[in-house]
Parts: sequence; structure tokens; C-alpha cells
Amino acid sequence: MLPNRSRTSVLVFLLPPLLLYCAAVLFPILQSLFLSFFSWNGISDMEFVGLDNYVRMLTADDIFWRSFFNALLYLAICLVLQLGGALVVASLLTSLRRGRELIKTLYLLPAVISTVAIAFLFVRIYSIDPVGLLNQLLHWIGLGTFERAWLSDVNTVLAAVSAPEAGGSPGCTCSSSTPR
Amino acid sequence: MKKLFRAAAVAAAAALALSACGGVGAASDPANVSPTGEIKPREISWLLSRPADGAVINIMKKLADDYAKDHPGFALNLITTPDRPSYIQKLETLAAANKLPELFDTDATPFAQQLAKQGKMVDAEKLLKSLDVYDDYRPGALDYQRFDDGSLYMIPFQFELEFIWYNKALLEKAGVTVPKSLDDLPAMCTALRSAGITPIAIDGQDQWPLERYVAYQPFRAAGPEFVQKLKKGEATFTDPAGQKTVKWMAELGKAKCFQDGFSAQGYSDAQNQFTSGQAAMYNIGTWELPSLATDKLNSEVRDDIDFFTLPTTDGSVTSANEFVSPSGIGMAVNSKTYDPLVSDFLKFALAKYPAEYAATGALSPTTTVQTTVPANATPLYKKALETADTLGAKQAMPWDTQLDPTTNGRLQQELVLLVQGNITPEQFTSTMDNTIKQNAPKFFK
Repeated sequence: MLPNRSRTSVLVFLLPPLLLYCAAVLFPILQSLFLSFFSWNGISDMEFVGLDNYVRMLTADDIFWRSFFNALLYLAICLVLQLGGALVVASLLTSLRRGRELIKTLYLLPAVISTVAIAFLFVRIYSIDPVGLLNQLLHWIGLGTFERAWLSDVNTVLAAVSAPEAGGSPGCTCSSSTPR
Repeated sequence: MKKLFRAAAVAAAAALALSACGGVGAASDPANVSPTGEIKPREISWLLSRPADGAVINIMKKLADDYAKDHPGFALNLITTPDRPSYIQKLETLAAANKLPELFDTDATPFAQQLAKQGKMVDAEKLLKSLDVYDDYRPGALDYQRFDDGSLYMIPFQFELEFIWYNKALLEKAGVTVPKSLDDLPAMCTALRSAGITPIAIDGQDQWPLERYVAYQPFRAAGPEFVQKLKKGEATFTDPAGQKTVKWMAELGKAKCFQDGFSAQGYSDAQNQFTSGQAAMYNIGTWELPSLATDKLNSEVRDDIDFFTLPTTDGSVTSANEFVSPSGIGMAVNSKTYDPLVSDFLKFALAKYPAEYAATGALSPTTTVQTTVPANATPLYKKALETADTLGAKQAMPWDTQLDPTTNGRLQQELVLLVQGNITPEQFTSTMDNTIKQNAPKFFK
């Protein structure tokens, strides 16, 4: 496959990362697969149950399907906001003649805020009691009927959680799609 | 290359097979509480779930330092994870790997009971008796740590009472009085809401505060036995006591008892709402006395704050002086690493702990010492402490320490939905009864 390289040099360079990968990623995955055929809570005796766990997950567990579709929706929201939003911002940036680097930097800043800090920030922004930024804005522009507890309302919570998660990363995506 | 992969596959399979056998290890006799032999000082560890700068940790650190003076080489390594869900995960992982430290915190959960049954924890009743301190403890403090069969494997370090704190001025403004019965609460909330007042401030993020409420009606209607039967599937939410609490929780939600968007609000959010005079009631334990019954409390509400204990109901089988009185997460002693050193250190520390703890203004789990009321306390502080002397024999157990983990997690989620009106009481009942039926047998066989 590599005409000019000896087998030994290929092995020397590939083996260490491959072993590391096996120990850190492949082995735990295989172990989980192995454990999934057992009924075990960590300290009880392991009882082999075959495919019972899978049967229950796919046919009897309503939580599984709900979280599965929630994950799909979350993915959709993130993709649209991350890729779509990033493309829009990127094309806007290319049309800038002056100060592009500055705007780019400013735009990237939120990406370096830690996820925990962003989470705390958005809990406040979405809050209704005391009134947070989002509900206050809605009130000011006359959309008071839309005020709600965004994170407690089951109809809005998924979108509310996805938005900041996706919102942090267009910065990265868009800066890489902007011509330098 | 092919050979290499084949070798890797064989190695992986062998490792899997090996790891599967590593589950259960030998434990020494959990009933042998007085190990003989020489005391060899070494470092021991205590895995705990308590506030990092709290009284328990500070005192135990100091006692460990004192002990180390006479026993060079001794050290107590305190590893705390105050966030309870993360702690439980850590504990269960270490237990599965058979790597629990000398001392570790746990509630009297079904998981802990399995550990005890496997002989991995030292019998705490025998241990305390051998140290001659068993009779010093408040019976309620020990009972809180017991498993359903009455056995005791954890040692308490706290004693707390849970009250419903209220703002007299706000109740007056809404024209309502302290509820005589739990059943008065929904109507009280409606009245407070129409006066523009948030009835109850609750920390919805941490989930256990709302789970307290679901325990109240059954404790009054059927006593502490209800949850003991419920968790094993011997009682259900369809039973009268179960239906009473489901309907009551839905009514609390309909009457908008809790602040808007409560499920996204945290511990300090809830407390701020109450101490800033926006919310009329707040259900919390004596661990908050320093912030609710001293001059640290906002001076604008300080004279308006009082508390009442859990109201009774018509036909209540438990009395007014019986409510939630937890002795906190308990400390278990690992039987595998229990030796003359651990035994001697516990003897030293448990004898000195109560006096040091009571001096911080907290209630000791023992009756041997008098709690020091801080100089900046309001009269409410003393009133709260004195309530401990008139407690009845039964206590309401927090359900999160009783149910198996899966059922508990599901209950916490469904409760929020029930109170928010997203599901009906009927849906709640059938979901929870099914969940218990599915998970309880595995844990309590």
C-alpha cells in the first residue's frame, strides 16, 4: 500500500495510536456490548438475559423512544442553526470591506465561554419569575402573550435548550467558511 | 496485519471474560466490630457527599489532625462530592469495582442494603454499642439510617427537622391563616395568587424538594409503612393513600402553588424568593437556620418570618409532632478495610464529635450535648431547636432514599409534569405503577 515505506516503519508509527485507541475507545464499547446481555447493577450477581434488555428498550420503554426522537429534533435544530446560520453570517462577512477581522473576532468570542457559564446565562435569559431578558423583550415589543417559562414548558424546552448549544458554534463554522 | 488483528481480537475477548469475573470480592466478617491487633497508622479515606466547608467536614478534619498527633502517619483523606447525583454515580462505580474506601457516605437506599447484605459494610449498631455510644444517639437519628428490616449500617452526623417557613405579613395580606390540614393548602395557594403573591418557593432543579410533597399525604393517611410497601410493589398509587397524594399534587399544580417555571429554578433562587418577601412559604430544614433565623436574614422580612410543622389531615394516623426529621446522609464503614486503626480512630472521633458539632449551632444526632444558639440568632432559632425535644416516634422518610434508582428518576420527572398539568392524575398513576412493577422486583427480591 505504501511502496516507499517499510512494513516496520508503518507498524512503528501506527501501532501506538492503534493500541491507545483500542484501550480507550474500542475496548469500552465492546465491554458495554458484552454487558448489555446481562441484568446487573454493578454489585448484584450478573444474570445472563440474552436480548431481553434490547426487547424491552425497543418495545416496552416509552422513555427510550421519546429521547430518541428528542435527540433527532435536537440534531435538526443544531444543524440548521449551525450550518445554515453560519453560512448566512459567513456570506455577510465576505461582503464586509473594512473591519472584517474585528467583527470575526467579536463573533467568535462566545465560542470560548465555557458551556457551564453559557448554561447559567441562558437559565437567566429564559427565566419568567424573576422576569428574564427574553420575556422582557417580548413584553416590550408587545408580544406579551408569548411570555412563558421557556425551560419548564414541555413544548418549548427542547428548542430552548438546543438554541444556545447550537448558537455557540456557528462562530467556529462560519469563521472557517469565511475566505481569509 | 491480519495476524495482528486476530491477536487483538483474542486479547479483547480475554479481557472481557476477565472483567466479568471481577465483581464480587471477599469481605471480612461485618459483625466483628472489635478487631484485635496492633494499631498501624496509615492514611484512610472518607468518600462523602457533604458541603466542602460545612461543619461536619471541618470538625472531622480537626479531629483527624488531633488523632494524628498521637498516631504519626495517620491521615484522613476527605473526598467530597456535594452534588448528590454525581456522588451516587461515583459510589456505585467504586462499589462495582470493589474499590470502596475505608469510610463512605450513603443513605439507607436499596443499593446500600444490597451492599450490606453482601457483607461489605460493618454492622453499625454493633459498632456503636461496642464503642459504648449507642444509647447517646437520638432514636430518630438512628431510625432514619436503618433499613426496613431494622438493621443499622450507617452512622448519622447530623439531625435536622423540616418545617414550612412562612411570611406572616404575606398571609395576612391574602387573608389566609396557617393551614390546619394539608388539604387546606390548595385553597390557600389560590387566595395568595389572587393577592399577587407567589404561594410557595421551591427548588425545582434538584427534584428532591418536590418529591418531599408527594410523601406528605400518604404519611398522614397510611403512616411510614406506605412507602415501604409502595417501593416493593406491595402498595400502589391506585390505593386510596396513593390516589390521595396524586390528586393533591395535581391540585397544588392547578392552584399554582409553586412559582412560575419552578422546574428550572435552583436552590438559591427559591430561597431568595422567600427571603426577599416575594413568596409566602418555603419548605426547608434546620440546616438553613443560619440564613433564616439569624440577623443574616433580610431585615425587611426578619420579623415576619415564622414556621409551622407538617399539617395533619382528617383521619391522620400520624401525629402533628411527626414529620420529616432526617439525620442526613450516613457514614458507612467498609468491612474489607476495617482494622484496629479504623476502629480506634472512630472511637476517638465519635466521642468528641457531638460537642464540637453542637458548638456550631447545629443539632447533634446525640442527646448528650446542648446546641449553642449563636449570638446573632433571632428567637426563631431557639424555637426550632426546641421542636426537636417534642418529636413523636414516627418519621416521614424522603422517598428519594427509599425507591429503587430507576423508579425514583421516573417519579421525579413525572411529578413535574403532573404539577405542571402536562399529564393527568390517571396517566401519572398508571405510568408510576408500571415503573414500580417493572423495577422493584429486581431490587427487592
